[in-house]
Amino acid sequence: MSVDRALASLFATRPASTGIDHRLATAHAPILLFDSREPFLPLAVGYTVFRKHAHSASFPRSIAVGEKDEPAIAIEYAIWWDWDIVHLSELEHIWVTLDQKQEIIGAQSSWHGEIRNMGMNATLPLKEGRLILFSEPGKHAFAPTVDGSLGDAERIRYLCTEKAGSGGLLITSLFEELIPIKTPEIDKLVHTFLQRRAFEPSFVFSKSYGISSEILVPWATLQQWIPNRLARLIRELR
Amino acid sequence: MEIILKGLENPRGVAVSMTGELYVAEAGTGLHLLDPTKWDGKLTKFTDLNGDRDFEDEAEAERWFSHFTTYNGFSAYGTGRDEVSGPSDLLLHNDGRLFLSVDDGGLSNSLALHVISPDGRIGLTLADRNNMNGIAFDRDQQKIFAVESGLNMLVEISFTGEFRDIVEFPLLDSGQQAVPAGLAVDPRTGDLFVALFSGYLFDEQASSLDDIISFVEGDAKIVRVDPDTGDTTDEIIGLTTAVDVAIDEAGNIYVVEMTTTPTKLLPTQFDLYDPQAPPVHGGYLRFSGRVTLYPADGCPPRVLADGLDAPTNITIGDDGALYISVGQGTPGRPIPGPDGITQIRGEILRITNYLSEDAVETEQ
Repeated sequence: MSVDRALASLFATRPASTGIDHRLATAHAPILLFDSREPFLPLAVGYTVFRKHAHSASFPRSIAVGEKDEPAIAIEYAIWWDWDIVHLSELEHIWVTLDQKQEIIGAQSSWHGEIRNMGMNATLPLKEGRLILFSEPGKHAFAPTVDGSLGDAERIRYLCTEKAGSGGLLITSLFEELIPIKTPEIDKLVHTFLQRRAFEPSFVFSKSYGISSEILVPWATLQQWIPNRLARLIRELR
Repeated sequence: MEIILKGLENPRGVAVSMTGELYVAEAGTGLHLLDPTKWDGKLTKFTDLNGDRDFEDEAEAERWFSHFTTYNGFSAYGTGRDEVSGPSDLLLHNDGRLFLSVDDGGLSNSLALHVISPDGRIGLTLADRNNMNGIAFDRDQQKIFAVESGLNMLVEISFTGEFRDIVEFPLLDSGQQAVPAGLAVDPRTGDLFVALFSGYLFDEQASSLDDIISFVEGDAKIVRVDPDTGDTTDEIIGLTTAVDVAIDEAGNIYVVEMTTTPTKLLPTQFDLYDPQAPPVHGGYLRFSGRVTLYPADGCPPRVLADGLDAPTNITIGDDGALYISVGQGTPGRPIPGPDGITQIRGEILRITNYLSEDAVETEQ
């Protein structure tokens, strides 16, 4: 088995697992269910623990916790894949809110740039106290169930087959320093790479992936690592 | 006419959504540094949250990108003119996607035509050819036309990045380059209207900057181009530094001229960023730009706004208003103004009710 040295270098910078925030993020890390044919699983997760009102550093939203009638704590999981089936570079989010007893009372997740509620209290999809969510085949947005909330199956099939790679290298404002390397040539290389990985989704969500302590790093660490990771992937594509 | 946005750094293309949001590309300060994270070309979404018809209240500006390339032709190529480039034009598709052209002057391989998703992520990059100053959709929004001022070309670009050259513009009457700067599609016929800015008039015997004329007054024009054949005919002649053009559903044509008169070029050692620098024009007479309406019914042209400081772009919003970007040049640089010394200020102007005869003056 080959060693991904870039990933190893990221995890080498991880703080001691005895850190309070790291332990909290590990204890409440979601379990993700993927399509049995899903070609891309998460590589690393950047966590941020909020105990008072603040803006997210990785998603355009604010987090309201710590005041009366608000959750005591929110944990943001910024989940990194290298690849989405349509483009290179993929970051999705899950937010878990806790009460004073540090029990999960709510959850939200990202859905193609928007925020969706995953349930509250008794309606939360939990398994042994951990949030369990379904991931859209190829595209990785999250839903609490598969009965319609994952979207139109035909659309998903179209994206995972015909549209594979059509988005090229995706750049968000978080990684603006990559704009100078964004060219039609890179987009074509990404397209070629992902066309070879186009797949027909089974809609059988049998790949279970629990976010574990080993892949959790503070968001700032992950954010610093991603541009070099992408630059290296682009070099390899060439 | 009202100022709806100020404090901008070289505003260029403006796109207006059907629900009134404004997207603005800014070419930045022109200070081109080695570190791309210091570049300051921008793309911002503005929303009038409180309905007061401006976009300057808290949280009304949502900065999508703030590090696109930026450069000044004076510093990069010794043009003697204070002329900033970077993000240059912007289109909003009916499906919510934005198309942004970026000109880096060939300095950093960042020339681009980017496709940006409705939630502000850069997806495909369709092109990285010459400096694509102006871009426009065809009538069905199925492809893009672009003018490349550096190559004097008009091209067609598909949404998958295929190119087709339409026409290369010949030299103008005095022998200078055409320099296509802006364009618009006639919604009635699909023809293209292209603003030919006009380039330097070189004197082969020139021994100093003082012997170079930035442009010849009256040599700029608007031409009509058949996008299928490239056939080109003069539509409006006798213009000066025609920098952008727009046309409405009725066939009224709106022309932006950046300035009326060339001025002395800047000396090589001039410090554009010195707040104490002497107030000089910088190649173009400041506060002499104008917007003129050429009515579809053949009536005489009417000046809708004049005395503008170096306007560059015009957009017709879904609300029928005209949006004009002004303030080309190094932001904050001292310049001569109509009431004394002032500074270069990037602003967006909105002109409404302009089709009323009472609202405008007839050009003499």
